[in-house]
Amino acid sequence: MNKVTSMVLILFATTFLISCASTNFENIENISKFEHVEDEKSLWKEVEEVQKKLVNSSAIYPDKDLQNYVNGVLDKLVAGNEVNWGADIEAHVIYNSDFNAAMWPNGFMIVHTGLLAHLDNEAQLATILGHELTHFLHRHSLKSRNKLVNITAALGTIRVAAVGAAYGLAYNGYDPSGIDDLHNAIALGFEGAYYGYSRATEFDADEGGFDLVKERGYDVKEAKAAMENMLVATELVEKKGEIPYFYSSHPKTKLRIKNYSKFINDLSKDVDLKSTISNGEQEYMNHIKNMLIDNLSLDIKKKNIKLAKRQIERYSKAYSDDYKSLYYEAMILLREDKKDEAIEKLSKSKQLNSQHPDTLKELGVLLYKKGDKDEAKDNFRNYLILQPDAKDADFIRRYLDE
Amino acid sequence: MNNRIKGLFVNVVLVFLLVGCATIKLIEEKNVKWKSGKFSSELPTGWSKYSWPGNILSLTRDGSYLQYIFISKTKTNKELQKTKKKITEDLLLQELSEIIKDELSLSDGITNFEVISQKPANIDGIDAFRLEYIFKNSEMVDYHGVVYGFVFKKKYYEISYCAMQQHYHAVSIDAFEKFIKNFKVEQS
Amino acid sequence: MKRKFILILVLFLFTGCAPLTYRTNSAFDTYFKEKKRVLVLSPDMKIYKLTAGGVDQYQEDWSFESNKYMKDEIKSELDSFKTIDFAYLDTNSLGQADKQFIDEQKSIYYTVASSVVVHTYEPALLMKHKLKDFDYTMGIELSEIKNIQDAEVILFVSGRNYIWTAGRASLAFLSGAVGLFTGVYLPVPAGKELLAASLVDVKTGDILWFNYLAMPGDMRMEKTVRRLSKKLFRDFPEEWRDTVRWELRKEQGNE
Repeated sequence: MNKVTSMVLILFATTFLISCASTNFENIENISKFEHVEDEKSLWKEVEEVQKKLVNSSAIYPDKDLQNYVNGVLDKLVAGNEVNWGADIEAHVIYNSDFNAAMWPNGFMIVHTGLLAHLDNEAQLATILGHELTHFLHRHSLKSRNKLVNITAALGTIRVAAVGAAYGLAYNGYDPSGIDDLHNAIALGFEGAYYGYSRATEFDADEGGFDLVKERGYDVKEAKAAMENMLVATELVEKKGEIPYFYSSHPKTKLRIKNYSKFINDLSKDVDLKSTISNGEQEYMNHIKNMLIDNLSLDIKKKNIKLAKRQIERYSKAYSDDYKSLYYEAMILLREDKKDEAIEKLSKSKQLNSQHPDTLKELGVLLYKKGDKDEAKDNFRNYLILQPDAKDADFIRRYLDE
Repeated sequence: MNNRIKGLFVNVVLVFLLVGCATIKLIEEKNVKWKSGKFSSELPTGWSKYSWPGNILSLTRDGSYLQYIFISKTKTNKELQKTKKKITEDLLLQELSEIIKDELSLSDGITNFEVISQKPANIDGIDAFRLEYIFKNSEMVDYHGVVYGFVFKKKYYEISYCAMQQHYHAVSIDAFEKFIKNFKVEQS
Repeated sequence: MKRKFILILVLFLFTGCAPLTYRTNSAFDTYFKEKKRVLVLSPDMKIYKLTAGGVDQYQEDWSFESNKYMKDEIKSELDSFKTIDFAYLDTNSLGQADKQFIDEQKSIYYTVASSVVVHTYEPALLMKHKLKDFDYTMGIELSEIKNIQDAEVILFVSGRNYIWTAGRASLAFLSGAVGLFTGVYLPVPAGKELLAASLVDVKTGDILWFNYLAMPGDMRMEKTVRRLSKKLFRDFPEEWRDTVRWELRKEQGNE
């Protein structure tokens, strides 16, 4: 290798090395006095502005009781330690039907209604909250961001190097076309490394969350059950076009369930798995009752029919058949284009509660389209009696005027 | 100057034409008449016309962050992005307005969505709906929107208006409603 | 034919992209003939690191320093005017409702300012009539700010810097070197850097004056911030200035 080539290689290597950021930080739970590490303070500050807007928006699910309940469970996990952690750890329930939760670097946690709708009890909720809390405690946001810095720096350096290498080959009479393939392969490798790192942090958060749930006395078997619920919920989403696993930031749920089984098995060898806190199933279902209806109506809007069906089954089972469950069953049937069955359900809903405006309106529209105009108009009239100032009142009056 | 340099100058001039100038045109008295296919109307003077991908017409007075009027079309029987519902010709007008309301409420970057009114309307003899709504964008700025929607010759057309609530809605809405009043549809 | 092409090119160069950085409405020229009370909102200076791979990382300490320098320089600059009486708005002393109002008005300002930039600075969507007759407003709703602090005008200042890391600088050097040898240059772009300032009439919400400096330079440095703040207000009519204080201000930074 001649001097020029060596110098060039050294230059490229130096460029990459000086572009690197550290991903090696002490976990927050292990330090006695919290202090920000490099760039962490800036990262926390950066997200605060976005969070300020979020908390003032309608994205926050407007149920103070539910917000307080979720934070109560979180407080059990935090167990007063946040004084040492340099952050206010707080959960915010977001009105979004995707099964998701996230932890921002400064302790601001979001939990979607779409996640709460598919869990069974407090112990399962604690598993999810514990997982997210571990992301905070292990500084995953900062580490992932720095990993991204390193990967993108490598990709940028390799791109420039590839141009130089292709020229060098061509100059010396060799075919440079293989450089493009080599560059793409290396780039893919680095991208894979980034997503692989992301999956590794998720496994780490699973383990950390499991430990927290165990330490606070919850039934650890519910941790696995939470993952199983997640698997069911995510498989029910009717999505077109899956992201290839290579590019997935999260491990496959089946693998995570397997991990939880291993955690439980390993633990059972040393300790009695009996929990000291109740799973809190009844209390959990009491707190999510209204949210369940709101979330499933969002899934109906988005045509996530299988998810909506799962939720209405849970609602009916937990709160017994009432006019609301019949109404939403009808809405699901409508999305499946089963109009006659929808009319039947709505009629039954009306029998249980003849004062529900939405039932009257939907029934009216369906009967009107079917040709039963007299019965349709009866429903429309009653709808307007209940809601004379409805936003769509003019439409309804038009039907009546015909 | 040889032909190569002449060609270079031509390219530079073309670049300036394409990028530098005249992609947004002021509407003055001399160019208020607008026609596109079966539709025509009078454009509001003092506004500007510009190109936007997918739109039949795009207008703004002060910039599209502050207000705009768009006309767009969608094929019937095609799944909408958010609700996966289809606009079919057998839909009642009220049902159509519900679908569009739901589609809007699920739009990215929209929060605090609220309907002000949802009424039947008429666009040059064609049954339409008028949906008026407010929302906040991701920066928590208040906006006011109005949509007129109708199905015509197997396509769904939307004449939509949106303006920042503070000041710009008050100074823009009349121009929009006048545009609607003058909107003609060739039904032959 | 040759002459025609050169003429067109020259015309586009000189008429299509006029380099004036400020815009003023019709009221501006005489606005400060009489004394006016200017309320200065805290400058919004944000400095980022821009890494080799193009990841931007907000830097709180740098931004804090830049905000401090800009605040001091604005004070020095406005002090040199005889018809400007100014005060900073202290948001720490405000109640929740007032803070929310200020935040909302800031968001509205940025929305209007974005339109000003797109339609009176950027060539692609330039509205020539707006350039000729600059007319942008935040609306009379802004006047409610008088309930928080009395003022006739508000000054908004915001800036963005993307400071290259050593890695990015090195990559740019390498890219340039490789480009020189191979003829294939892979650009390493700068971030969208800017410094913008506006004076907004409180009663009407009208933007009286808007100045926008692209690629302003490293605003972590007091020297740069001083140079920029002088540049921002450079084109204000001299008769508004207090002669003595103006001379002192002109001397600042020239030592």
